[in-house]
Amino acid sequence: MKKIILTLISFLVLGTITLFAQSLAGYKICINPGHGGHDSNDREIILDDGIVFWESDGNLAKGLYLKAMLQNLGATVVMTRETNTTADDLPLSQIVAIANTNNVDYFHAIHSNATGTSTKSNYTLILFQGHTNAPTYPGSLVMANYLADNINKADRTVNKMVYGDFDFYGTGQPYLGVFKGLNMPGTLSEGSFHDYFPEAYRLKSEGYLKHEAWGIARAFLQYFSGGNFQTGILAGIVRDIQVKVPSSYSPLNTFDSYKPINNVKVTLQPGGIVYNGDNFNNGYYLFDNVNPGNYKLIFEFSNGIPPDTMDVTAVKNESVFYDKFSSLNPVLDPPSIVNYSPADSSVAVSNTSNIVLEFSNFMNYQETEKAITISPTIAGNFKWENDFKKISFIPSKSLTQGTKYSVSISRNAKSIFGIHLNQDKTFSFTTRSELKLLSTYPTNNLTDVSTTVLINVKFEKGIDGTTLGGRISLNDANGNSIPATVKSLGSVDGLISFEPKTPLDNDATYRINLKAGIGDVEYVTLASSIVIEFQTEKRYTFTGNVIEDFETNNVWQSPLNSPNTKGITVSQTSFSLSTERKKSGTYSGNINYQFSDSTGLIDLSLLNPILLTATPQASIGVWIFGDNSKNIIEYKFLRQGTNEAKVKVDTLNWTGWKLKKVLLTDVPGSGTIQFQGINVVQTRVGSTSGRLFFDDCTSDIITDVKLAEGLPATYQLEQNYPNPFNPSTVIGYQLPAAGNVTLKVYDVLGREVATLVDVFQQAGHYKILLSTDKYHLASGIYFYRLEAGNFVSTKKLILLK
Amino acid sequence: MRKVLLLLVLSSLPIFAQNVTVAEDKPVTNLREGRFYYPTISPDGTSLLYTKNNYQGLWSRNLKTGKTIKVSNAMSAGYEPSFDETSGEIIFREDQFIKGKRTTSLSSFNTSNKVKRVLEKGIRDLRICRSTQNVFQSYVNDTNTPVRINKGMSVQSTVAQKTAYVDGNHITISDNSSKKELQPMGEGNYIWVSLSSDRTKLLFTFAGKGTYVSDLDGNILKVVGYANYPSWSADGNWILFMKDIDDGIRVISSNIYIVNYYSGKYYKLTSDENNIKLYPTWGAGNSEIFYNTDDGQIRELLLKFE
Repeated sequence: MKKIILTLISFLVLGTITLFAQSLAGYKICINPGHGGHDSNDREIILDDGIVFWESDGNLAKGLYLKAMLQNLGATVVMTRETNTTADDLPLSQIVAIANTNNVDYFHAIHSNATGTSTKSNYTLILFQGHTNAPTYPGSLVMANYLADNINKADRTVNKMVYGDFDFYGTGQPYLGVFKGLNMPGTLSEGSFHDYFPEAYRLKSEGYLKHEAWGIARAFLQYFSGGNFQTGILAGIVRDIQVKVPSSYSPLNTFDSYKPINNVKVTLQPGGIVYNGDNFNNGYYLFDNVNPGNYKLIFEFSNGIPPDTMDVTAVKNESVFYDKFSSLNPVLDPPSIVNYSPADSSVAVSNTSNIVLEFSNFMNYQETEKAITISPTIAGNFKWENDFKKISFIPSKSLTQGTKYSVSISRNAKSIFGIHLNQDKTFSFTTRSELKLLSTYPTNNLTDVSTTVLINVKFEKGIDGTTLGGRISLNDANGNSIPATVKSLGSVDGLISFEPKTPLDNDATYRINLKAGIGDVEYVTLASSIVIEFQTEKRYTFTGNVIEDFETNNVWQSPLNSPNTKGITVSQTSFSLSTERKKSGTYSGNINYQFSDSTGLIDLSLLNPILLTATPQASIGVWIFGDNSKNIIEYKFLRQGTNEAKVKVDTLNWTGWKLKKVLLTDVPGSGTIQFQGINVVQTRVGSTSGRLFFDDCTSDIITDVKLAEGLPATYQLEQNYPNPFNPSTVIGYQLPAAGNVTLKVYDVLGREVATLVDVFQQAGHYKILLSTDKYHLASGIYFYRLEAGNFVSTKKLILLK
Repeated sequence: MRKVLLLLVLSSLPIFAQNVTVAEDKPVTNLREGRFYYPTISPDGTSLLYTKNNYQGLWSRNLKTGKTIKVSNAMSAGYEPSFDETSGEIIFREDQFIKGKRTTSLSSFNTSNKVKRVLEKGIRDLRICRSTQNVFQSYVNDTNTPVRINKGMSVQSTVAQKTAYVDGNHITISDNSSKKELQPMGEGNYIWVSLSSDRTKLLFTFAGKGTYVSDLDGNILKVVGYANYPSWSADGNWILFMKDIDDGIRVISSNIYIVNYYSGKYYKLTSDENNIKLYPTWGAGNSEIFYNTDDGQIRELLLKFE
């Protein structure tokens, strides 16, 4: 009690001039310091060195400080207890009766909280009677919010919560006995958590307890519209930068991980007011009722190391915190900068860079932050790491592109031991000036581009998708916009991919328009607009026999099972039939791959190689949807049944579907030729990953790649070839106009046994493979029937096994 | 008044009863009607007042017909209501909080014609002084001067009878000619203060220490012990109270007792089973006790003295 009186005198000395600018005169308030008597429902915490915290002690101290503050404001204060004996642990009914008997205007119970578990928390909780959004007394909710704000600020708890007891305990009915029977508004504050060890030590500090009382007093002034305190509070914690608290403390933040220093004497100048820190491991100091203005704090330590000072500013009705790092084993060498970034005179620096400085010593964070100047000025925040040896300035928004920044740190920066930086330091850097376009496919003025092209636009950084609206388009030669499907927005790798929703026209000019303003994730923008022009391929007509249509499983061996596949990342490499893209039918073959070294090879082989007829002009081709990876496609053959031979087909320098063929005369060796499969061979300049699609392996390309002579003038269903056949045959047909097309096979009884085509098709010539393996057909006579538009035609075929 | 005295004579409890038993413990309200607390009986025993858990609102139940009417919806209306000695009208308070400050109106309600009248407005620190049978005697405001209500239901400043009320950290006993401030147990909180019907003894609870009976000079006559919400029987021979036990968060058990003032013998009227029994009050017949359960049911105990 003596201590309380002494500290009360101290604030009266400082604050008498302004004490009457705020008032609670005429109000009656009941204060209930919770629990009492160090008995069973008190919740003691046994700390290190035998130090014990009793909640009833903390609650009472806060209550007595609050009583004095409220009385100084002119309020009549009714205390439910002023001592801490067993008799002071009043029954709830008596607490309520005291408030009611005295007709108080408001009731408030003071508590601290505990999780009671190993989980640590430290938030402020305010409870009142009622539902959270429907209190029994409306004033309770108003006051609860004032209390939560002010106690949270005074205690610096990590969070604040406000609840009605109906909801907090989930009963939907009155729960807390301290509210039952109150005939006035009331609240209960759980200011902080006393089973969080750093907090329990703070709750042993008279200054800390008093500070919470100030928070409650501020809330009462707000609640009763009593004005604001014209004075302020200066408070903080002195910690040892070189000593960490035990992990058992489970510190909830960086500051609480450092051990507070005991018995620090702090002097406020001018005024000469002294706060003598206690020995309860909290390092806390408090100066209250301080008139607004600038002051100097002098810190003196028990082991006689040189005192340190700190310039501070008091603000009316506010708590301003000045935490102090020091050490009982100081390092008195002048600190120096041992590292920094961005590098001096560096250019093209990321616009989202932080500015980082590393020091040789523990730095006084307040003095050091003040000593740093950045020009042009940037808004942002400082972040300290590595025991206050490393500071990062984190801009609140990106740096300005193409701007030279200068960073200076003066010798005013000090270590926590008060030693100035050894020298001034200045460095500069320049940010990226514009977003660069690295590549496109198609490239500018490229010809023979597939009408199903996948357009790729590659920027140097991930793209901010919000900048793309209206800034990227595909147009024909007349400027008409071509509808496209976006495959990738490039937010991570800067690669924007899109493709036309329907095939482009043949032999036509298109333009990719990239407008200035496209921005990347660093908020750097494309400086000027770019137009990429390309020409699509001429109209070609292909005819031949489809010997494998990628419509059936277990025809191809997965590259992962091939002994020839090498240099790949297994988890990122696969083969499957896919509906994502197809040249015809329902499926295509899809390889996703990633090379793991520089000599990778993907081997996609037929489980049963297909015998080819090696006429002089014979050829074989595969429809390939390229990935523009710059790797190489090879076809693989067997000559004379055993000798492997490969033919390089092309470099993968396109996207979209293209038929890639080789002449069988180019296959090395002699003897019969069997088509064995496809290889993807890594090149030095090639991408290490990609996606390829394959469809319709076609042999006996009767009409070589040629300029089409125009669309068919009539519908026609051709006789299958060969006929009779085993195991497969090819059915050709032509369409003079686009439309829905079906091609089905029936047995002699008219039962449908296979559907070869059932899609919408453009005008043109088509070849369809009929395989007995796929449809499990027995020997016999069958009929195939084409329906397209009003055209219907049926022909006979014979299967001989 | 004559009617009240007659009732007293007929129903006085024996001073030295050998035994007291509970003949019946029966419900007065059921939870479907609502949750009600803090019963108060009319001097003639015909109607029972009760309120909500926080004293908001006031209801009057005719115990013969079971018909209930709502007297007021105001805050604190159910806190220590009383009855006018002559008219039988209910006299009660109605609080409001403006910018956090409580002001009170003193009102009356005639249950026959359902007319409510505001007798006095804007009172700060209102305390209603009532007799052991809940007859309104006077009220006290922040000037600490007792004020009466005359037969015409208007206020008048003279007070003939002694009244006792709490004023800060002491008890004041006041009448027309004198005002005495008592602190029988020293500095602290005095609650549940009442005078015996003969106005010679003072019953009070000193928070944290217990319940006592003193003379009007503050000399302790009897230590009742741990006895909350105590009240005198009409004849002054018995004290009714509750022994509520809580865990610091909520009440976990409570029973109702009476103690003979002269013999000092205690009788536990309820058992630990079932509900928590709180806030007992004498019925008009003195062999009846009303109380509320923790979950808000009003019940009646019928006592048998042997």
